[in-house]
Amino acid sequence: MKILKVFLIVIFLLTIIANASFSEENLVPFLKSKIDTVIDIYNNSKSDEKKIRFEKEIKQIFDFNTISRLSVARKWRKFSKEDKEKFTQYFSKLLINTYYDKLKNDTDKIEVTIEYLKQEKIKEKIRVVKTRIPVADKKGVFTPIDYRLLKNKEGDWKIYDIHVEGISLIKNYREQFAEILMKNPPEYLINKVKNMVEKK
Amino acid sequence: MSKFSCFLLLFLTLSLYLNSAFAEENIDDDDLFSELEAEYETPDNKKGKEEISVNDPFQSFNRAMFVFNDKIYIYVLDPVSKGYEKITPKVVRKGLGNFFTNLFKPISVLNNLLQFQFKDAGKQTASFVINTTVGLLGIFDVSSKFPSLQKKEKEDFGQTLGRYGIGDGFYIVLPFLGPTTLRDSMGMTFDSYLTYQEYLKDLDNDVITTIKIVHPINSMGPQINQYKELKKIAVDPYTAIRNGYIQKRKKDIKE
Repeated sequence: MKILKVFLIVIFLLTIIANASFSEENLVPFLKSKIDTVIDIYNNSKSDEKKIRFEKEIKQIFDFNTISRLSVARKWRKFSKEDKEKFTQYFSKLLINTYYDKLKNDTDKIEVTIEYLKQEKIKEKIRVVKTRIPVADKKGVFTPIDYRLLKNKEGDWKIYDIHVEGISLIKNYREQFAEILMKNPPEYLINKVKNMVEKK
Repeated sequence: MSKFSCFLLLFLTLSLYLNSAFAEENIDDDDLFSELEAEYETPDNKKGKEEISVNDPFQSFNRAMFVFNDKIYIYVLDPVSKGYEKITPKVVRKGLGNFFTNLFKPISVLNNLLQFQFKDAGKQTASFVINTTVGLLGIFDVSSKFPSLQKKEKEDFGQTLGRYGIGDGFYIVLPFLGPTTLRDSMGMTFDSYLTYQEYLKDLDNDVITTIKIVHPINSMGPQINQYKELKKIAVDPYTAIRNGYIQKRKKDIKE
């Protein structure tokens, strides 16, 4: 009987450990390390390879396929396979460029204190990580930024939407693209985004 | 077998069962995508316009007004605001900002009461009393030193109406003032009536005019920057601003 008891206790402890690591992946430190990497690349790369390394890293953190598909919404079905690829390519380029240019205009080095607050489970494969950034010169005032992540087929978590002060980036693009695609074919939208990217 | 072992056995079976339930939830790509999609659906909208957040029957007028405002913001208000920031020390701008926030707080308190948010109304009243007295007519935001008084978001009558379940009506872009909706413009009129015809009616006319001029100039800097940011990342700036406005108001009403 004694042996059985010990055996049961060991298995009991093992299952607790297994269950804990199973259901509660904590994405807060995960996201923090990813964003820290981006900031580090931005601050410490040589200027000639800075943008390329930055772009490469961002592409690993964000799921641009999902971002494009969600942004185009129902009209995605009207896009041919080639349209989808082209659109995803230019749209991700547009997002990366604007993000990069914004950083470049603001400052040479990113110095930001992001407070990582908590994660919330939306669905099994959808999570939100809540963060906030203190507003300069205003004590006790913060800009809340929520990152929405999804777990893809490979089992990696990737960002597919950002909410700044409660405003969803994807929702904003969904309405813009719906407005454009109501009167125009997919090629029109693709060219518009392409022109924006190539103007830079 | 002892009770203890029984308990352990029971727990084991249960956790094994739960684990297998977990493992079964192996949804494929398309399922995951429809789950994602569900997060963005707005079921209350008309068919064929699911992604559109607000009625916009006067879109051609609104778009013209948007272009007009854009020119005003970029070529008049932005330079004015930048010039103002150059000649006015930060301390003064901050003090003035605090002063105006405090001055209009009673309107916000009233709207909190109308929304039955008595706790927030109490907090805002406390911070109004502290800042008006110790903070020398609101120039110093003394109340922010108290953590419990730090959250003091502004409430307006448009939000109050939204709380009562009144919808946006339709979207309209006003000259100079920019995006609003039927409901919010009515709210704005009501708030402004209360402020100038009731609350501040005993003030001298010149003082009122000064308030009406200095207040927007002092506060528009960050707003113009926000506008420029949103416009930069937009493929269709008009719709981007419209959606941003509606999303922001929805969030304000919920809070």
